[in-house]
Amino acid sequence: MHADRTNRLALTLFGLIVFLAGVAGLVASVGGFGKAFSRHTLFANRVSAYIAVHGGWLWPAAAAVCLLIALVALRWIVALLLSTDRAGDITITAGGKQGTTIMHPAALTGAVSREIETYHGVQAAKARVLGDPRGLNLVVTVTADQSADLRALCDRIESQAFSHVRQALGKPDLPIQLDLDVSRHVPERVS
Amino acid sequence: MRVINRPLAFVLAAVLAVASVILIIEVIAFAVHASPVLVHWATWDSWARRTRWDAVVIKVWSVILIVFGALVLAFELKPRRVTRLRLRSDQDATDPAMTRRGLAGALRAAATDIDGISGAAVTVRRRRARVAARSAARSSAAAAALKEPAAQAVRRRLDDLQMRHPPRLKVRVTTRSR
Repeated sequence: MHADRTNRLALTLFGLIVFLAGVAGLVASVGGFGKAFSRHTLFANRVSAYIAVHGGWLWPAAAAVCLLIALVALRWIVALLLSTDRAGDITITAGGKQGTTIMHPAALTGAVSREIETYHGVQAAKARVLGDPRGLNLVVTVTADQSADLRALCDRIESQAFSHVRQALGKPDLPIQLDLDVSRHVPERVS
Repeated sequence: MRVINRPLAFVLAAVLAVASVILIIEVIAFAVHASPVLVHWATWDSWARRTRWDAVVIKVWSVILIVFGALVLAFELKPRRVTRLRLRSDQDATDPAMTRRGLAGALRAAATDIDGISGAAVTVRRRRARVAARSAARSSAAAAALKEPAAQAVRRRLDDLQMRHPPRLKVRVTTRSR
């Protein structure tokens, strides 16, 4: 599991709960739930009374829920520390009885980067393969010269390098993300 | 992704896990009449039984919770700064884009290619791009004369990219500061 969306969702939920708890506390404190209620002690309410009466089963139930929360939290921590969105080895099946080929992602990214770096106007290219074997995704970042014709370069990368990648993997619809950057190195001007 | 989200999420997950384990231990300890073990919850219990809702400490803590919760919410819900601006493509499976910095560099290069422009500061956002070019000359008339060619060059560069949603362009030329 790549945990970025989970992190954002959980932190948003946490922020909302803390915010609402604060609002509820302040409203109760300034008499928003009635002046009489604001003069009660914190545990002098129905919920506390219910917990006091049914504590025999409620606290063990709360402990069981906490066990689930602790397990989910541990799973979350493991995902945070160990997860990666990088793909593992890629299996290429030619079909029929021709067997399968296992390709290391570095072989693919190295080949596509080297090909793109030979194109005119390209300073550097790097690629990474994301996802799992069922849903591979190639992300290519290309740094071009400031003087490069970026549209022509983009079209060439799409029609040549990306076609070669898709052909090599036997996946004509392989999703590929191309990020074009421009070098910050300013070429010398001749005056 | 915001890099800070990972450590924040780690802290939240760790706090949840530790708090849950403490509660489980205390419930078991209470059942075997050995409580409290890790947390002196009886002290908190007696404090809550004698503290009223209108106490100052409740107001203070409520405000702290509101501020903290609002900060977390604002941080998480604030729209992410755009990092890539998508280009048109004939292939559905290909998603080409200019990085925000890349587009700024391309527009800067287009502006500084004009004779008389010595430099340019470019700001690219999701829907607009601002190019503030500096003329090599110090007279404002010279700077004004450069505005149209600079704007045309930058516009041409932007059009050539064939972006899906090109940002609105604003170009100005300032004189070189003395």
